[in-house]
Amino acid sequence: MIYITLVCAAGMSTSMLMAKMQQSAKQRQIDVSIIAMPEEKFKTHNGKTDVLLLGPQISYLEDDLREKYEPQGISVAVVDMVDYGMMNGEKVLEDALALVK
Amino acid sequence: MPKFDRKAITNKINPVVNKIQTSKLVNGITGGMMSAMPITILGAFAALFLNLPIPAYKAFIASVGIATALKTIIMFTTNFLAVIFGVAIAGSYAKQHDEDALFCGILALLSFFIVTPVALSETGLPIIPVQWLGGTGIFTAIVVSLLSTRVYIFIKRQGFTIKMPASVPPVVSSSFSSLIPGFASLILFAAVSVIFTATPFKNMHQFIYTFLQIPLQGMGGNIVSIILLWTLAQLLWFVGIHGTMVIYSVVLPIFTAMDAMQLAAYSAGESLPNITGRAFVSTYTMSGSAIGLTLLMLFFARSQQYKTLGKLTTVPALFGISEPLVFGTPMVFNFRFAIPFIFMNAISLVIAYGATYIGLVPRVAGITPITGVPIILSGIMEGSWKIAVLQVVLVAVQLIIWYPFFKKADRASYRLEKEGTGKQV
Repeated sequence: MIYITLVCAAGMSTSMLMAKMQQSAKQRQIDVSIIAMPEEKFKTHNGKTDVLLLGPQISYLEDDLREKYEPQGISVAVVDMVDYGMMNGEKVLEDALALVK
Repeated sequence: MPKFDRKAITNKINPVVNKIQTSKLVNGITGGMMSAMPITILGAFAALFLNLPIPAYKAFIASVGIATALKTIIMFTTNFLAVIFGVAIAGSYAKQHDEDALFCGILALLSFFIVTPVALSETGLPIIPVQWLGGTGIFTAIVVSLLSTRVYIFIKRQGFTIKMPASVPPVVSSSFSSLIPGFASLILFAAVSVIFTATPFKNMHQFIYTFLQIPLQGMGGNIVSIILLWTLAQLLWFVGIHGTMVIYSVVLPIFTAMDAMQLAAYSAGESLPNITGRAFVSTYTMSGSAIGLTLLMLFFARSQQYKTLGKLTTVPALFGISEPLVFGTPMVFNFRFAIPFIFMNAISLVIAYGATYIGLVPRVAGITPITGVPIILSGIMEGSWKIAVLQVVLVAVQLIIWYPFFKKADRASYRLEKEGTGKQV
Protein backbone atom coordinates (compact mmCIF):
# COMPACT_ATOMS: atom_id res chain seq x y z
CA MET A 1 0.00 0.00 0.00
CA ILE A 2 1.29 3.43 -0.98
CA TYR A 3 0.12 6.50 0.90
CA ILE A 4 -0.31 9.79 -0.95
CA THR A 5 -1.27 13.01 0.81
CA LEU A 6 -2.41 16.09 -1.09
CA VAL A 7 -2.18 19.49 0.58
CA CYS A 8 -3.33 22.95 -0.46
CA ALA A 9 -4.63 26.10 1.19
CA ALA A 10 -8.10 25.03 2.31
CA GLY A 11 -8.16 21.42 1.12
CA MET A 12 -11.08 22.14 -1.22
CA SER A 13 -9.63 21.82 -4.68
CA THR A 14 -7.21 19.07 -3.64
CA SER A 15 -10.16 17.02 -2.46
CA MET A 16 -11.56 17.21 -5.99
CA LEU A 17 -8.26 15.98 -7.38
CA MET A 18 -8.16 13.30 -4.68
CA ALA A 19 -11.48 11.91 -5.90
CA LYS A 20 -10.19 11.79 -9.48
CA MET A 21 -6.99 10.05 -8.41
CA GLN A 22 -8.87 7.49 -6.35
CA GLN A 23 -11.08 6.76 -9.34
CA SER A 24 -8.06 6.23 -11.56
CA ALA A 25 -6.37 4.01 -8.97
CA LYS A 26 -9.48 1.88 -8.67
CA GLN A 27 -9.74 1.41 -12.43
CA ARG A 28 -6.13 0.43 -12.69
CA GLN A 29 -6.31 -1.63 -9.49
CA ILE A 30 -3.40 0.11 -7.82
CA ASP A 31 -3.15 -0.29 -4.09
CA VAL A 32 -2.94 3.30 -2.87
CA SER A 33 -4.50 5.39 -0.13
CA ILE A 34 -5.01 9.03 -1.13
CA ILE A 35 -6.10 11.77 1.25
CA ALA A 36 -6.34 15.57 1.01
CA MET A 37 -6.10 18.25 3.70
CA PRO A 38 -5.12 21.87 4.28
CA GLU A 39 -1.36 22.35 4.60
CA GLU A 40 -1.89 23.65 8.14
CA LYS A 41 -3.44 20.32 9.19
CA PHE A 42 -0.63 18.22 7.80
CA LYS A 43 1.76 19.47 10.50
CA THR A 44 -0.19 17.56 13.11
CA HIS A 45 -1.27 14.70 10.86
CA ASN A 46 -0.20 11.36 12.28
CA GLY A 47 -1.04 8.94 9.46
CA LYS A 48 1.51 7.44 7.15
CA THR A 49 2.61 9.36 4.05
CA ASP A 50 4.93 8.19 1.29
CA VAL A 51 4.35 11.00 -1.17
CA LEU A 52 3.36 14.54 -0.21
CA LEU A 53 1.91 16.52 -3.11
CA LEU A 54 1.42 20.30 -2.94
CA GLY A 55 -1.20 22.23 -4.87
CA PRO A 56 0.55 24.71 -7.19
CA GLN A 57 -1.01 27.64 -5.30
CA ILE A 58 1.22 26.91 -2.31
CA SER A 59 4.34 26.01 -4.29
CA TYR A 60 6.20 28.69 -2.32
CA LEU A 61 6.23 26.22 0.59
CA GLU A 62 7.97 23.52 -1.45
CA ASP A 63 11.50 24.12 -0.18
CA ASP A 64 10.43 24.29 3.46
CA LEU A 65 8.37 21.14 3.27
CA ARG A 66 11.06 19.31 1.33
CA GLU A 67 13.63 20.18 3.95
CA LYS A 68 11.30 19.09 6.72
CA TYR A 69 9.88 15.86 5.37
CA GLU A 70 12.41 14.37 2.96
CA PRO A 71 14.69 13.31 5.83
CA GLN A 72 11.67 11.35 7.13
CA GLY A 73 11.58 9.45 3.85
CA ILE A 74 8.60 11.32 2.40
CA SER A 75 8.86 12.38 -1.25
CA VAL A 76 7.70 15.97 -1.69
CA ALA A 77 6.57 17.47 -5.01
CA VAL A 78 4.35 20.19 -6.44
CA VAL A 79 1.56 18.98 -8.73
CA ASP A 80 1.98 20.14 -12.31
CA MET A 81 -0.12 23.27 -12.73
CA VAL A 82 -2.15 22.27 -15.75
CA ASP A 83 -2.66 18.69 -14.54
CA TYR A 84 -3.95 20.21 -11.34
CA GLY A 85 -6.29 22.62 -13.07
CA MET A 86 -7.59 20.00 -15.47
CA MET A 87 -8.01 17.61 -12.53
CA ASN A 88 -6.04 15.00 -14.44
CA GLY A 89 -6.12 12.35 -11.72
CA GLU A 90 -4.51 9.67 -13.83
CA LYS A 91 -1.46 11.72 -14.73
CA VAL A 92 -0.98 13.06 -11.20
CA LEU A 93 -1.26 9.54 -9.82
CA GLU A 94 1.32 8.30 -12.29
CA ASP A 95 3.72 11.11 -11.42
CA ALA A 96 3.20 10.43 -7.73
CA LEU A 97 3.88 6.71 -8.07
CA ALA A 98 7.05 7.51 -10.01
CA LEU A 99 8.28 9.40 -6.94
CA VAL A 100 8.03 6.40 -4.63
CA LYS A 101 11.47 5.07 -3.93
CA MET B 1 3.97 38.34 -25.97
CA PRO B 2 6.80 40.32 -24.38
CA LYS B 3 9.91 38.49 -23.43
CA PHE B 4 9.43 37.60 -19.88
CA ASP B 5 11.14 35.45 -17.32
CA ARG B 6 8.55 33.78 -15.10
CA LYS B 7 11.07 31.87 -13.10
CA ALA B 8 12.82 35.10 -12.10
CA ILE B 9 9.54 36.68 -10.99
CA THR B 10 8.46 33.62 -9.06
CA ASN B 11 11.86 33.40 -7.40
CA LYS B 12 11.52 37.01 -6.27
CA ILE B 13 7.99 36.72 -4.91
CA ASN B 14 8.11 33.26 -3.35
CA PRO B 15 10.52 34.07 -0.51
CA VAL B 16 8.40 37.08 0.53
CA VAL B 17 5.18 35.10 0.51
CA ASN B 18 6.92 32.23 2.23
CA LYS B 19 8.16 34.57 4.96
CA ILE B 20 4.64 35.86 5.66
CA GLN B 21 3.05 32.45 5.50
CA THR B 22 5.55 30.72 7.76
CA SER B 23 5.84 33.51 10.33
CA LYS B 24 4.94 32.18 13.77
CA LEU B 25 3.06 35.37 14.57
CA VAL B 26 0.93 35.26 11.42
CA ASN B 27 0.28 31.54 11.76
CA GLY B 28 -0.57 32.01 15.43
CA ILE B 29 -3.18 34.67 14.69
CA THR B 30 -4.75 33.27 11.51
CA GLY B 31 -4.44 29.67 12.70
CA GLY B 32 -6.24 30.56 15.92
CA MET B 33 -8.96 32.50 14.13
CA MET B 34 -9.48 29.72 11.62
CA SER B 35 -9.71 27.07 14.33
CA ALA B 36 -12.42 29.14 16.04
CA MET B 37 -14.33 29.43 12.77
CA PRO B 38 -16.96 26.79 13.66
CA ILE B 39 -17.97 29.00 16.59
CA THR B 40 -18.40 32.08 14.41
CA ILE B 41 -20.43 30.00 11.95
CA LEU B 42 -22.67 28.73 14.77
CA GLY B 43 -23.30 32.32 15.82
CA ALA B 44 -24.02 33.28 12.22
CA PHE B 45 -26.56 30.50 11.80
CA ALA B 46 -28.28 31.40 15.04
CA ALA B 47 -28.61 34.97 13.71
CA LEU B 48 -29.98 33.69 10.42
CA PHE B 49 -32.65 31.59 12.12
CA LEU B 50 -33.50 34.42 14.47
CA ASN B 51 -34.00 36.90 11.64
CA LEU B 52 -35.80 34.94 8.91
CA PRO B 53 -38.11 37.62 7.53
CA ILE B 54 -41.35 35.68 7.97
CA PRO B 55 -43.71 37.30 10.52
CA ALA B 56 -45.55 34.07 11.41
CA TYR B 57 -42.26 32.27 11.98
CA LYS B 58 -40.94 35.13 14.09
CA ALA B 59 -44.05 35.16 16.27
CA PHE B 60 -43.81 31.40 16.67
CA ILE B 61 -40.15 31.26 17.76
CA ALA B 62 -40.75 34.13 20.14
CA SER B 63 -43.76 32.47 21.76
CA VAL B 64 -42.19 29.05 22.34
CA GLY B 65 -38.88 30.44 23.57
CA ILE B 66 -36.72 29.42 20.60
CA ALA B 67 -35.89 33.09 20.03
CA THR B 68 -34.56 33.38 23.58
CA ALA B 69 -32.47 30.24 23.11
CA LEU B 70 -31.02 31.57 19.85
CA LYS B 71 -30.21 34.89 21.53
CA THR B 72 -28.37 33.03 24.29
CA ILE B 73 -26.35 31.15 21.66
CA ILE B 74 -25.52 34.45 19.95
CA MET B 75 -24.44 35.95 23.25
CA PHE B 76 -21.84 33.21 23.74
CA THR B 77 -20.70 32.95 20.13
CA THR B 78 -20.89 36.20 18.13
CA ASN B 79 -20.85 38.44 21.20
CA PHE B 80 -18.17 36.34 22.87
CA LEU B 81 -15.70 36.18 19.99
CA ALA B 82 -12.94 38.17 21.68
CA VAL B 83 -12.75 35.58 24.47
CA ILE B 84 -12.87 32.67 22.03
CA PHE B 85 -10.26 34.15 19.70
CA GLY B 86 -8.02 35.00 22.65
CA VAL B 87 -7.90 31.39 23.79
CA ALA B 88 -7.63 29.99 20.26
CA ILE B 89 -4.86 32.37 19.16
CA ALA B 90 -2.81 31.79 22.31
CA GLY B 91 -3.14 28.04 21.79
CA SER B 92 -2.17 28.20 18.16
CA TYR B 93 0.73 30.57 18.85
CA ALA B 94 1.96 28.28 21.63
CA LYS B 95 1.84 25.33 19.24
CA GLN B 96 4.02 27.27 16.80
CA HIS B 97 6.62 27.34 19.58
CA ASP B 98 6.00 23.71 20.59
CA GLU B 99 4.58 24.77 23.93
CA ASP B 100 1.49 23.57 25.80
CA ALA B 101 -1.47 24.96 23.84
CA LEU B 102 -4.08 24.32 26.52
CA PHE B 103 -2.13 25.97 29.30
CA CYS B 104 -1.26 29.02 27.19
CA GLY B 105 -4.91 29.24 26.15
CA ILE B 106 -6.05 29.29 29.77
CA LEU B 107 -3.36 31.81 30.63
CA ALA B 108 -4.59 34.09 27.83
CA LEU B 109 -8.18 33.68 29.03
CA LEU B 110 -7.22 34.79 32.53
CA SER B 111 -5.06 37.64 31.23
CA PHE B 112 -7.94 38.81 29.05
CA PHE B 113 -10.37 38.94 31.96
CA ILE B 114 -7.75 40.61 34.14
CA VAL B 115 -7.63 43.60 31.78
CA THR B 116 -11.42 43.60 31.27
CA PRO B 117 -13.20 46.10 33.55
CA VAL B 118 -15.49 44.73 36.24
CA ALA B 119 -18.58 46.71 37.21
CA LEU B 120 -20.98 46.54 40.11
CA SER B 121 -24.62 45.65 39.62
CA GLU B 122 -27.36 47.70 41.27
CA THR B 123 -27.42 45.26 44.13
CA GLY B 124 -23.65 45.55 44.56
CA LEU B 125 -22.68 42.29 42.89
CA PRO B 126 -19.51 42.39 40.79
CA ILE B 127 -20.36 41.81 37.11
CA ILE B 128 -18.39 41.61 33.88
CA PRO B 129 -20.06 43.74 31.21
CA VAL B 130 -20.31 41.94 27.86
CA GLN B 131 -19.31 45.15 26.06
CA TRP B 132 -15.70 44.07 25.41
CA LEU B 133 -16.21 40.35 24.96
CA GLY B 134 -17.36 40.50 21.33
CA GLY B 135 -16.18 42.32 18.22
CA THR B 136 -14.94 45.44 20.02
CA GLY B 137 -12.57 43.36 22.16
CA ILE B 138 -10.98 41.30 19.39
CA PHE B 139 -7.82 43.37 19.04
CA THR B 140 -7.25 43.43 22.79
CA ALA B 141 -7.73 39.67 22.74
CA ILE B 142 -5.09 39.32 20.01
CA VAL B 143 -2.60 41.57 21.82
CA VAL B 144 -3.19 39.94 25.21
CA SER B 145 -3.02 36.36 23.94
CA LEU B 146 0.18 36.92 21.96
CA LEU B 147 1.82 38.83 24.79
CA SER B 148 0.84 36.44 27.59
CA THR B 149 2.05 33.47 25.56
CA ARG B 150 5.27 35.24 24.59
CA VAL B 151 6.05 36.24 28.18
CA TYR B 152 5.32 32.72 29.36
CA ILE B 153 7.64 31.20 26.77
CA PHE B 154 10.36 33.79 27.33
CA ILE B 155 10.48 33.32 31.10
CA LYS B 156 10.30 29.56 30.78
CA ARG B 157 13.16 29.44 28.30
CA GLN B 158 15.25 31.76 30.48
CA GLY B 159 15.16 28.95 33.00
CA PHE B 160 13.20 30.75 35.71
CA THR B 161 11.29 27.65 36.67
CA ILE B 162 10.91 25.60 39.79
CA LYS B 163 12.96 22.48 39.21
CA MET B 164 11.98 19.25 40.82
CA PRO B 165 14.33 16.39 41.72
CA ALA B 166 14.59 13.73 39.02
CA SER B 167 12.54 11.30 41.13
CA VAL B 168 9.39 13.47 40.80
CA PRO B 169 7.05 12.21 38.05
CA PRO B 170 7.24 14.29 34.84
CA VAL B 171 3.56 15.28 35.03
CA VAL B 172 4.08 16.89 38.42
CA SER B 173 7.36 18.55 37.52
CA SER B 174 5.96 20.00 34.29
CA SER B 175 3.08 21.62 36.12
CA PHE B 176 5.60 23.18 38.51
CA SER B 177 7.80 24.37 35.66
CA SER B 178 4.85 26.35 34.31
CA LEU B 179 4.30 28.07 37.61
CA ILE B 180 6.72 31.00 37.53
CA PRO B 181 6.26 31.75 33.80
CA GLY B 182 2.50 31.65 34.29
CA PHE B 183 2.67 33.96 37.28
CA ALA B 184 4.87 36.38 35.37
CA SER B 185 2.29 36.64 32.65
CA LEU B 186 -0.64 37.19 35.00
CA ILE B 187 1.22 39.68 37.16
CA LEU B 188 2.16 41.66 34.07
CA PHE B 189 -1.47 42.01 33.02
CA ALA B 190 -2.64 42.74 36.54
CA ALA B 191 -0.13 45.62 36.53
CA VAL B 192 -1.26 46.76 33.09
CA SER B 193 -4.85 46.69 34.25
CA VAL B 194 -4.08 48.82 37.31
CA ILE B 195 -2.03 51.30 35.28
CA PHE B 196 -4.86 51.80 32.80
CA THR B 197 -7.37 52.62 35.53
CA ALA B 198 -5.21 55.68 36.27
CA THR B 199 -5.46 56.89 32.65
CA PRO B 200 -8.38 58.66 30.97
CA PHE B 201 -9.11 55.39 29.12
CA LYS B 202 -9.92 53.59 32.40
CA ASN B 203 -9.04 50.20 30.86
CA MET B 204 -6.83 48.54 28.28
CA HIS B 205 -9.79 47.65 26.04
CA GLN B 206 -10.75 51.27 25.50
CA PHE B 207 -7.15 52.19 24.72
CA ILE B 208 -6.57 49.39 22.18
CA TYR B 209 -9.97 49.92 20.63
CA THR B 210 -9.34 53.64 20.15
CA PHE B 211 -5.71 53.54 19.10
CA LEU B 212 -5.40 50.22 17.28
CA GLN B 213 -8.68 48.67 16.23
CA ILE B 214 -10.52 51.75 14.92
CA PRO B 215 -7.52 53.13 12.97
CA LEU B 216 -6.72 49.70 11.49
CA GLN B 217 -10.32 49.09 10.49
CA GLY B 218 -10.43 52.52 8.93
CA MET B 219 -7.18 51.87 7.08
CA GLY B 220 -7.86 48.34 5.92
CA GLY B 221 -11.62 48.29 5.70
CA ASN B 222 -12.24 51.29 3.47
CA ILE B 223 -13.20 50.60 -0.11
CA VAL B 224 -9.98 51.98 -1.64
CA SER B 225 -7.78 49.67 0.45
CA ILE B 226 -10.07 46.76 -0.27
CA ILE B 227 -9.85 47.33 -4.01
CA LEU B 228 -6.06 47.59 -3.83
CA LEU B 229 -5.78 44.48 -1.65
CA TRP B 230 -8.02 42.30 -3.80
CA THR B 231 -6.35 43.46 -6.99
CA LEU B 232 -3.05 42.52 -5.39
CA ALA B 233 -4.58 39.13 -4.55
CA GLN B 234 -5.40 38.61 -8.23
CA LEU B 235 -1.87 39.68 -9.20
CA LEU B 236 -0.53 36.99 -6.88
CA TRP B 237 -2.92 34.44 -8.41
CA PHE B 238 -1.58 35.57 -11.77
CA VAL B 239 1.88 34.41 -10.77
CA GLY B 240 0.40 31.18 -9.40
CA ILE B 241 0.15 31.97 -5.69
CA HIS B 242 -3.00 31.63 -3.57
CA GLY B 243 -3.42 35.41 -3.37
CA THR B 244 -6.57 35.45 -1.27
CA MET B 245 -4.91 33.39 1.44
CA VAL B 246 -1.81 35.58 1.48
CA ILE B 247 -3.87 38.76 1.81
CA TYR B 248 -5.96 37.27 4.60
CA SER B 249 -2.90 36.17 6.53
CA VAL B 250 -2.27 39.89 7.03
CA VAL B 251 -5.74 41.46 7.20
CA LEU B 252 -7.90 38.67 8.66
CA PRO B 253 -8.08 40.26 12.15
CA ILE B 254 -9.36 43.55 10.73
CA PHE B 255 -11.99 41.97 8.51
CA THR B 256 -13.08 39.43 11.12
CA ALA B 257 -13.57 42.16 13.71
CA MET B 258 -15.65 44.18 11.25
CA ASP B 259 -17.83 41.17 10.44
CA ALA B 260 -18.23 40.35 14.11
CA MET B 261 -19.60 43.82 14.85
CA GLN B 262 -21.78 43.66 11.77
CA LEU B 263 -23.21 40.31 12.80
CA ALA B 264 -23.77 41.43 16.38
CA ALA B 265 -25.80 44.40 15.12
CA TYR B 266 -27.68 42.18 12.68
CA SER B 267 -28.50 39.69 15.45
CA ALA B 268 -29.78 42.47 17.66
CA GLY B 269 -31.84 43.97 14.84
CA GLU B 270 -29.86 47.22 14.94
CA SER B 271 -28.62 49.20 11.94
CA LEU B 272 -25.48 47.67 10.44
CA PRO B 273 -22.23 49.60 11.07
CA ASN B 274 -20.21 48.66 7.95
CA ILE B 275 -20.64 48.39 4.20
CA THR B 276 -17.45 46.37 3.73
CA GLY B 277 -15.85 43.49 5.59
CA ARG B 278 -14.90 39.91 4.86
CA ALA B 279 -18.47 38.87 4.07
CA PHE B 280 -18.80 41.79 1.64
CA VAL B 281 -15.65 40.92 -0.29
CA SER B 282 -16.38 37.24 -0.33
CA THR B 283 -20.01 37.68 -1.46
CA TYR B 284 -19.20 39.93 -4.38
CA THR B 285 -15.88 38.55 -5.67
CA MET B 286 -16.65 34.83 -5.75
CA SER B 287 -14.08 32.77 -7.67
CA GLY B 288 -11.99 35.80 -8.53
CA SER B 289 -14.94 37.38 -10.39
CA ALA B 290 -14.40 34.89 -13.20
CA ILE B 291 -17.67 32.95 -13.09
CA GLY B 292 -18.70 34.87 -16.20
CA LEU B 293 -15.73 33.46 -18.07
CA THR B 294 -16.55 29.88 -17.13
CA LEU B 295 -20.10 30.40 -18.48
CA LEU B 296 -18.76 31.88 -21.72
CA MET B 297 -16.53 28.85 -22.16
CA LEU B 298 -19.36 26.48 -21.35
CA PHE B 299 -21.94 27.97 -23.71
CA PHE B 300 -20.10 29.91 -26.41
CA ALA B 301 -16.80 28.13 -27.03
CA ARG B 302 -16.14 26.86 -30.54
CA SER B 303 -12.75 25.38 -29.79
CA GLN B 304 -12.51 22.00 -28.12
CA GLN B 305 -10.02 23.41 -25.62
CA TYR B 306 -12.37 26.01 -24.15
CA LYS B 307 -15.42 23.74 -24.35
CA THR B 308 -13.62 21.21 -22.17
CA LEU B 309 -12.48 23.94 -19.80
CA GLY B 310 -16.03 25.24 -19.53
CA LYS B 311 -17.33 21.84 -18.50
CA LEU B 312 -14.54 21.43 -16.01
CA THR B 313 -14.50 24.84 -14.34
CA THR B 314 -18.10 26.10 -14.21
CA VAL B 315 -19.49 24.02 -11.36
CA PRO B 316 -16.51 24.46 -9.01
CA ALA B 317 -16.51 28.21 -9.78
CA LEU B 318 -20.19 28.50 -8.86
CA PHE B 319 -19.25 27.01 -5.50
CA GLY B 320 -16.40 29.46 -5.06
CA ILE B 321 -13.58 27.10 -6.01
CA SER B 322 -11.42 28.76 -8.63
CA GLU B 323 -8.34 26.52 -8.79
CA PRO B 324 -9.47 24.49 -11.84
CA LEU B 325 -10.01 27.75 -13.71
CA VAL B 326 -6.79 29.38 -12.54
CA PHE B 327 -4.54 26.41 -13.22
CA GLY B 328 -6.45 24.60 -15.93
CA THR B 329 -6.94 27.48 -18.38
CA PRO B 330 -4.31 28.44 -17.13
CA MET B 331 -4.62 31.98 -15.88
CA VAL B 332 -1.12 31.86 -14.44
CA PHE B 333 1.21 34.00 -16.56
CA ASN B 334 -1.47 34.07 -19.27
CA PHE B 335 -1.35 37.53 -20.80
CA ARG B 336 -4.37 36.88 -22.97
CA PHE B 337 -6.62 37.03 -19.92
CA ALA B 338 -4.41 39.11 -17.64
CA ILE B 339 -6.43 42.33 -17.80
CA PRO B 340 -9.87 40.98 -16.83
CA PHE B 341 -8.34 38.42 -14.48
CA ILE B 342 -6.47 41.05 -12.49
CA PHE B 343 -9.00 43.90 -12.60
CA MET B 344 -12.43 42.26 -12.60
CA ASN B 345 -12.43 42.03 -8.79
CA ALA B 346 -11.95 45.78 -8.55
CA ILE B 347 -14.89 46.39 -10.93
CA SER B 348 -17.13 44.03 -8.95
CA LEU B 349 -16.18 45.70 -5.68
CA VAL B 350 -16.83 49.20 -7.00
CA ILE B 351 -20.26 48.22 -8.32
CA ALA B 352 -21.20 46.36 -5.15
CA TYR B 353 -20.01 49.21 -2.95
CA GLY B 354 -21.90 51.78 -5.02
CA ALA B 355 -25.10 49.73 -5.03
CA THR B 356 -24.89 49.28 -1.26
CA TYR B 357 -23.97 52.89 -0.64
CA ILE B 358 -26.97 54.31 -2.47
CA GLY B 359 -29.20 51.71 -0.86
CA LEU B 360 -30.10 49.59 -3.90
CA VAL B 361 -29.10 46.54 -1.88
CA PRO B 362 -28.91 46.24 1.90
CA ARG B 363 -25.58 45.89 3.67
CA VAL B 364 -24.32 42.31 4.05
CA ALA B 365 -25.16 40.84 7.45
CA GLY B 366 -21.57 39.78 8.16
CA ILE B 367 -22.35 36.06 8.02
CA THR B 368 -18.99 34.26 7.99
CA PRO B 369 -18.22 33.18 4.42
CA ILE B 370 -18.04 29.41 4.09
CA THR B 371 -16.11 27.99 1.15
CA GLY B 372 -18.34 25.70 -0.85
CA VAL B 373 -21.58 27.63 -0.42
CA PRO B 374 -22.74 28.37 -3.98
CA ILE B 375 -23.37 31.81 -5.44
CA ILE B 376 -26.96 33.09 -4.91
CA LEU B 377 -27.33 30.99 -1.73
CA SER B 378 -24.30 32.78 -0.28
CA GLY B 379 -26.00 36.05 -1.22
CA ILE B 380 -29.33 35.13 0.36
CA MET B 381 -27.52 34.07 3.51
CA GLU B 382 -26.14 37.59 3.84
CA GLY B 383 -29.63 38.74 4.68
CA SER B 384 -31.53 39.51 1.49
CA TRP B 385 -32.51 38.18 -1.92
CA LYS B 386 -31.42 41.56 -3.29
CA ILE B 387 -27.82 40.69 -2.46
CA ALA B 388 -28.19 37.47 -4.47
CA VAL B 389 -29.62 39.46 -7.37
CA LEU B 390 -26.61 41.76 -7.28
CA GLN B 391 -24.36 38.68 -7.40
CA VAL B 392 -26.13 37.60 -10.58
CA VAL B 393 -25.90 41.10 -12.05
CA LEU B 394 -22.16 41.04 -11.38
CA VAL B 395 -21.86 37.75 -13.27
CA ALA B 396 -23.66 39.43 -16.18
CA VAL B 397 -21.16 42.29 -16.05
CA GLN B 398 -18.38 39.69 -16.09
CA LEU B 399 -19.89 38.12 -19.22
CA ILE B 400 -19.62 41.45 -21.01
CA ILE B 401 -16.15 42.34 -19.82
CA TRP B 402 -14.65 38.87 -20.35
CA TYR B 403 -16.31 38.41 -23.74
CA PRO B 404 -13.80 40.14 -26.09
CA PHE B 405 -10.85 38.47 -24.36
CA PHE B 406 -12.56 35.10 -24.44
CA LYS B 407 -13.61 35.46 -28.07
CA LYS B 408 -10.09 36.25 -29.22
CA ALA B 409 -8.56 33.33 -27.34
CA ASP B 410 -11.28 30.93 -28.44
CA ARG B 411 -10.91 31.92 -32.09
CA ALA B 412 -7.15 31.39 -31.94
CA SER B 413 -7.56 27.96 -30.39
CA TYR B 414 -10.27 26.99 -32.86
CA ARG B 415 -8.03 27.93 -35.78
CA LEU B 416 -5.14 25.97 -34.30
CA GLU B 417 -7.32 22.93 -33.74
CA LYS B 418 -8.63 23.05 -37.31
CA GLU B 419 -5.18 23.36 -38.78
CA GLY B 420 -4.01 20.55 -36.52
CA THR B 421 -6.68 18.09 -37.66
CA GLY B 422 -6.26 19.29 -41.27
CA LYS B 423 -2.65 18.23 -41.23
CA GLN B 424 -3.39 14.88 -39.71
CA VAL B 425 -6.09 13.84 -42.20
